[in-house]
Amino acid sequence: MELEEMQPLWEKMNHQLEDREILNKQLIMNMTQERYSNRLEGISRWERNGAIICFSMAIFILFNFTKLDTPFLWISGLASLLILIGLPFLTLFTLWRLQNISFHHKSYKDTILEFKRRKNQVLQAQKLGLLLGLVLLFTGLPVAGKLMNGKDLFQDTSVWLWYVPMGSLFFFFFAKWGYGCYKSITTSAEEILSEVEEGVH
Amino acid sequence: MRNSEEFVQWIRANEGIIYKITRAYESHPENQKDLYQEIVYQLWKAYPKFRREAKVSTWIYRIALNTSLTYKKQSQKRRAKTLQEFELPEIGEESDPFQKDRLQQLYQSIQQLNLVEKGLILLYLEGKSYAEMGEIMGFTPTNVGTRLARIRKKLSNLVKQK
Repeated sequence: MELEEMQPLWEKMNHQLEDREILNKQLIMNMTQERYSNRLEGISRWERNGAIICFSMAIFILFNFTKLDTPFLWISGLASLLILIGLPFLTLFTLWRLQNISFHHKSYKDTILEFKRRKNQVLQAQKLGLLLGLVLLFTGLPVAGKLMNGKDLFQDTSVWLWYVPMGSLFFFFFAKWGYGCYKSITTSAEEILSEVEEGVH
Repeated sequence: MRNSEEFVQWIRANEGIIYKITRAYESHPENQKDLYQEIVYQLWKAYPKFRREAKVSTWIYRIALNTSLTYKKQSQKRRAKTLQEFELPEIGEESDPFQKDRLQQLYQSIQQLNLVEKGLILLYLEGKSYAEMGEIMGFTPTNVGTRLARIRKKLSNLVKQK
């Protein structure tokens, strides 16, 4: 539809809307209150469950930390602990920031730019997550071996023979999938920016 | 400090703005209602900080457009669910049988525009000046003019393609 055709139609709609009532007072107030209590819904089930699993594992390591009795096990335990606590925290924090942009005093253009900036932070966190996931793949095994079976896998190295190739293969496909997601989100973020930049020059 | 009475009065006086914006940004009725509720919530959140330097309607436009923009860019799974049951009216049903179709076409045309163009066209149709549009959108009035000329051309091309 041409712009000139839109204008009279829009005006007509404006007149008709003047006589309509969409919300009553009670509904408006209920909306604000209930929406407020529903804000946590924005975190997906995957992210929430992932964080719960990571934190549970971290608590398990923490309570059994004294069982890690060699320097290598101790370092692996500490590294695993830091990743298991830090990674979900970082992911949830960047996602929370993305969903809570304070745009009340911002222009439309600034909101778009802020959204893109925060989306990039989420993506950076996801990239870091992939890297730390690889580290955890190798630091987690000796810790799990010691805490669950009492074996020091730095002494008994036979497990590594199948774990390293299997783990690397798993990680390769996981990273490939993760990179695909990363690329599609980056493209969408770039599209937003190009919308803002169009016509500026 | 929030004055609920005043807030409710502002919302009710400007319901048309929220209605038109939700219809322009979302085509699915459930998403329209959800976006409507999100806008009301964001206005409620912003209300204590409103310094009354701008007109209430300009403030509502700014919040509503920014809310729609971020809502549109959030993935479906991250959105809060619609909690309140209410219906958005269909305009033009009783008075003019053709008007409903024409309005449908109008919103379809708007939905083919990108996010920046959508915001601009809504403000243009509302009869806002280039300066006011620039203030809400964050562009200079000259840039607003340039962008509107592009939108006009884009809409014409879309008509020709059909």
